[in-house]
Amino acid sequence: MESTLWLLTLVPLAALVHLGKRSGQQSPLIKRALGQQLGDGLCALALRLIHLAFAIYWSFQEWVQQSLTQADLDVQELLLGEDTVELADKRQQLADFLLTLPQRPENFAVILPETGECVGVDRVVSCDVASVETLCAWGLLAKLPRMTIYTRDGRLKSAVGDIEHRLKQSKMVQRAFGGSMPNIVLENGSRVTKRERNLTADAGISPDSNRRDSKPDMHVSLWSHDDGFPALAELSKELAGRAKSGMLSSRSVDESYVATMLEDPAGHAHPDLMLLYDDLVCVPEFPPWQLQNTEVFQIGSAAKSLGDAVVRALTSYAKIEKRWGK
Amino acid sequence: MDGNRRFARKSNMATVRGHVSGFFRLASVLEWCNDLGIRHVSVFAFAINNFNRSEEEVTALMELAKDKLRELAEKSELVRKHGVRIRVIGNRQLLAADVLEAVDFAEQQTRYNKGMTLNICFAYSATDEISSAIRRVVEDAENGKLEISDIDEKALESRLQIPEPSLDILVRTSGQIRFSNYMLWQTSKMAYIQFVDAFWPDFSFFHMFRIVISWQRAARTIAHRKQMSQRATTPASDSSGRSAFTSAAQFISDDETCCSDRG
Repeated sequence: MESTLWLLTLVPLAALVHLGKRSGQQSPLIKRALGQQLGDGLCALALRLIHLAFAIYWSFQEWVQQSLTQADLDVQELLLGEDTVELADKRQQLADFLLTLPQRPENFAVILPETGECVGVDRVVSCDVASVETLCAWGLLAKLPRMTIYTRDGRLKSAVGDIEHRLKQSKMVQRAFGGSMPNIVLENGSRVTKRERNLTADAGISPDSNRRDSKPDMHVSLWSHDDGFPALAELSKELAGRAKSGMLSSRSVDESYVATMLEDPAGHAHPDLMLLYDDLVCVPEFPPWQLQNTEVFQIGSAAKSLGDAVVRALTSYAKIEKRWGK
Repeated sequence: MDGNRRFARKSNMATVRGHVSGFFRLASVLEWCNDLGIRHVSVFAFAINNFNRSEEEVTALMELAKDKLRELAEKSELVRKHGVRIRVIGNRQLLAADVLEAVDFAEQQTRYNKGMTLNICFAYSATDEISSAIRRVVEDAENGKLEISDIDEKALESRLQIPEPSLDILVRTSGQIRFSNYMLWQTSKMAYIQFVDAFWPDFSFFHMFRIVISWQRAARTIAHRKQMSQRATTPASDSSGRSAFTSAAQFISDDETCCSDRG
């Protein structure tokens, strides 16, 4: 131990002495370069220390925030726990509370994180399927007309079959809808991408075929990167083609025309509230046109409870003041 | 630059004084950005839907814009000493002749400057920008300047009013947590977003410092995500890694705007 300590002390000292001797023997130009290197090194070290201090400060802030909010809300059990009369009453109370919020979003968007908590392709998909199920359940409890669930890479779109199956079997969804199976319309892509792929029919999820023809209880759209920038490019191509064939004049293409082309066929607004399920406040190529009036609510990807996040997002949305430029 | 009016109310000032304070804050922030080596800064000065405000306020804002544009272009140290180039971005058809004159003056006076580029978004909205880009694509296709098969995301992006460089940091002040139709295309390309709970005239160097440090910590993750995205969309594309801090911040202004722009 003592010899190790001596080594740890003597070796750096010897190195410094050696450097000092070398710098004494070297020309002024090399001395200046060494001086500059030392200065750069010290600046880099200072910057690293600042980063470290900031990281500690930020972690402390998050810990404080989490501690403060932990006791406030634990609604996850309302849909996940064993169904009892007491739980059903609490659920109804929460549903009534959410319905009476002074301001409610018409279109609630959720951006799922880049990588799920699961490892391996299958587990990522089933994790995301579970997330969709949870979000649909909470959306139904809050009686939201529309949810838009976004993954940049579109992995949910390739799991539409799994999602459909899961929603049809879901006890959580039924509990959220007062014990019966809701009529959910599951849309795979936005209006533009669906038009591009000649898709007309969306999946209707209801065991009762009569209900599928009635007004849906909720629309759920699965979006990806393709519904954003590529969709705008496809729209431009389509309009350019019409202009070239004389069916359209470029002068007619203004903001309101483009807005009409991009509006939701079911008449819903663009997302008013977005739950960003990510550690960074960074929008991963979400369709830009649809972000125009979106409020953002961020939760870290380590957060386990989507239910809590949804309820917090809705309650904070209720308090915002929209000025529309005035 | 959001929160000028609320700052004025908090400080018992007239609304227009709040906007003047906002301008002085802008001048300070531009100096900090210049010192930090940021090459492009975009600020949201006036949104298209701000025309819905009272006539009195809109007139006052237009007068302020005229005066300050000239002042920036003629007298500011940033322009004289550091060669800042001023560009005014927005729908000019909505501006009166006298304001347009000031806009043209500021742009012409600084058009050969090689320093930082300051994009002042005035009578701007992101949806107007995107639809204008789409219209330009359609026009060029109509006139034979662009083949239909060449219309892609890049063709559209190059016709935006602020096409390049890509946005690194978006800052919105006043505690509002929304995009307010500001630089949506650019923001959605994985810009690092910071919502600051301070009115624009109260935005301090400490806020700036925090934003820069937190961006530096996140930069690697964002760069990695951008690379993954590029690989997913264009497998053969070259993704040259840009190092360190060369970005510019955008500031959302005036009660429904934000922006940050990087160079």
